[in-house]
Amino acid sequence: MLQITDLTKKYKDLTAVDRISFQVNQGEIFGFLGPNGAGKTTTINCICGLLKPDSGTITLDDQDMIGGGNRVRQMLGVVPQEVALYEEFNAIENLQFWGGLYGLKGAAIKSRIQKLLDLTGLADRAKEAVKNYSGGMKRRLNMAAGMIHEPRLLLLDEPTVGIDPQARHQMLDTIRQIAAQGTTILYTTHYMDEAEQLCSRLAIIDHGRILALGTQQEIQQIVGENRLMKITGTFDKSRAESLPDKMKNLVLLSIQENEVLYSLPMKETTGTFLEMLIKSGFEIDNLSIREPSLDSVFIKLTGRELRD
Amino acid sequence: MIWKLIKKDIRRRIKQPAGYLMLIAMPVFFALLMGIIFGPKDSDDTLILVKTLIEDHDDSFASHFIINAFGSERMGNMFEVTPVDSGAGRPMMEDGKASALLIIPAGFGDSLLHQNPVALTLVKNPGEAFAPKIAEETILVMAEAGDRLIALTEGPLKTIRNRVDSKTDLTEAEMALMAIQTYRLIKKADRILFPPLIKLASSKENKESTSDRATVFAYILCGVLVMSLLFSLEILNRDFFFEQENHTLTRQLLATGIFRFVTAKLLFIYLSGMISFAVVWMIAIPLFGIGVTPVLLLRLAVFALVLMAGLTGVISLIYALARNRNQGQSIAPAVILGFSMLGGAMVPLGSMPGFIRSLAVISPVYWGINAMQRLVVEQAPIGDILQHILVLGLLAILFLVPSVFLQKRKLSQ
Ligand SMILES: Nc1ncnc2c1ncn2[C@@H]1O[C@H](COP(=O)(O)OP(=O)(O)OP(=O)(O)O)[C@@H](O)[C@H]1O
Ligand SMILES: [Mg+2]
Repeated sequence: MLQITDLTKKYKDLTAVDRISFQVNQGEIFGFLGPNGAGKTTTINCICGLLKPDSGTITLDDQDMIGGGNRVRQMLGVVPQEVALYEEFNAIENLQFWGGLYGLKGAAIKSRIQKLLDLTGLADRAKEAVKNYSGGMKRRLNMAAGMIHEPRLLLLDEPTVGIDPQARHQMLDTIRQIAAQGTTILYTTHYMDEAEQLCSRLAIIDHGRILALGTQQEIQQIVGENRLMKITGTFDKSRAESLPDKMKNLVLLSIQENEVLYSLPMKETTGTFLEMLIKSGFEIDNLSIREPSLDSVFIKLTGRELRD
Repeated sequence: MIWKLIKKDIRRRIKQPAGYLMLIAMPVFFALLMGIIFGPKDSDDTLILVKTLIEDHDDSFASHFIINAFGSERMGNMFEVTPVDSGAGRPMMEDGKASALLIIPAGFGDSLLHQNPVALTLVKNPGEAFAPKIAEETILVMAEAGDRLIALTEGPLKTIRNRVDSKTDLTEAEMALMAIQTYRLIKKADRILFPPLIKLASSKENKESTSDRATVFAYILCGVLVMSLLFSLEILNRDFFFEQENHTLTRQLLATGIFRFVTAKLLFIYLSGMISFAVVWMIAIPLFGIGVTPVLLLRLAVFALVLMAGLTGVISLIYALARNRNQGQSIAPAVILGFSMLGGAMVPLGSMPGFIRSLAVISPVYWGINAMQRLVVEQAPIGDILQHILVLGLLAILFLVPSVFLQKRKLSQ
């Protein structure tokens, strides 16, 4: 449905998005996972036409999106990262205004608003000014506003930032419902657990580049059935580097002054590994073992945690 | 589509009208105060004539203003003011040639501008009981009125200006503060409205003079009105930054495109300006008893169309050029005050030095005030203010068109 090829966007010297390509298929929730400053919002802004890419193509159902004008815009819904609502208006007034801009009116807009209020669970507070809403409620209304005109493709830019776990849970449920009703979703986030829960396929992006792309299973293969072992403390660097020679299947991923990262197959026991560390003179301040997950994929790919 | 954007902005203002309404009421307040102080009195009969000498060591706009005030129609009947050379006043007082001597110190105008405390000296003739007291009382009243005017612009106006477009409501504390400030203003104005001694002097009512008085109100109102309209346009223009900060800009751009957004916003600003204009006259006409005919109202309406376009152009261009909110909010008021001063909105042009008077034509404020005064006070036909209409219309085109393109360019980044 959405096809992005070699998209590049620069801000002066900084290349915020660097030759990325991916495809979002009809009906799926596609995850766009990356840390702060990865280039997620920049990509979304290019797709919806707020930014003009430096190079690359974006097509929606084979129609060119760059300079695509109103017709393509009608097919697209955007839920911006920040809440974009009028606080002095209530939910209905906000939705009426945004719907009106897309040419909705009369009974059509009324029933659409009612549907969205039910979907987002705001129906009983619909006549209250938005300024009295909680953060989670504002986020839900923000999402409703982005899809008032029944877009076929919905771009969600970190819709769960800054809300409590319960509200987040509710939000993810709502998003699943939206997808179940046939809307295709591009879901941007820096929470790997959200991507794991929601997305059938996803891309991991960092510093403007796509590091991994595919279904969850495909991406999981990058770490395989491996645990990640991160050790902080004092150790001899050359001995740390030579550990993989002593233990089959142990792989050194990255090493710094006080920190070293290995990957170890699930079938190997951690006990043997620990023993070996101590024998090699490691003074361990902290040891973290991470089961295979998208998080560990990210760590393996970048040497950093996703939430840095 | 554009209308939907405008309607949204209007509804937003209606939801939080307090600040905006106060702003509209401001010029009426000013005109009321100034008119009462400097307007004609109700009667020509005077019980006492207070002979007053004025030594003007300052020779600034401010001292001229005071001297003019004493010479104004209202007070002129009660005071006989003789300007005297420096140092000549006291000997004349000793000779019993006057009841009071007012000494305006050098630097008086400067101190006022910089809001430093400043003292006028009033020497009373000890041989007289009553007349010097009137002089003293009047000056006190004037000083208080002046003080209040400054406090007025600094107190509620500042609170309002800062709050009007911020996301939050006025807090209750701020409302209370404003109410107190306004109450104090009215209490002070009380003394001006019913100054005990001046009332004594004008106890015989003369009904015929009311239209005279209305004329003075109208005259003053024309001046303050243009300035306050500029200030309300300034506040409305902040919406461009508000929409950005509120993130509602991008969402509107997505739905409608940038050109429509900018056009709608400017139209809204223009329309609100027109509404303020209409509301001010609707309050002022019955309040001041200004005589109006349907023809005059029509002329005013026609003129308002052009005036507001010109003024909207001036302020919108400043905002289109401003790179951020701070720039806009500091440059625009400075420009407004400069234009207002130059255009005779604060001090009548007649009391200003000659070279400033000749510069007045470069201020759009001058063209607005002058045309309105002609329409309202002189009952002039539209034909008499064609030049004014032309100038303001030209300003509108020259300023509004670049505003649209500059805003467009700025917002698309
Ligand atoms: N208008 C801009 N001008 C210059 N640099 C920008 C601009 N917008 C973003 N950037 C930079 O481009 C990079 C990508 O930013 P972007 O907002 O796309 O990241 P993101 O993945 O959305 O991050 P976040 O999770 O913080 O929202 C960052 O380094 C950011 O500093
Ligand atoms: Mg972002």
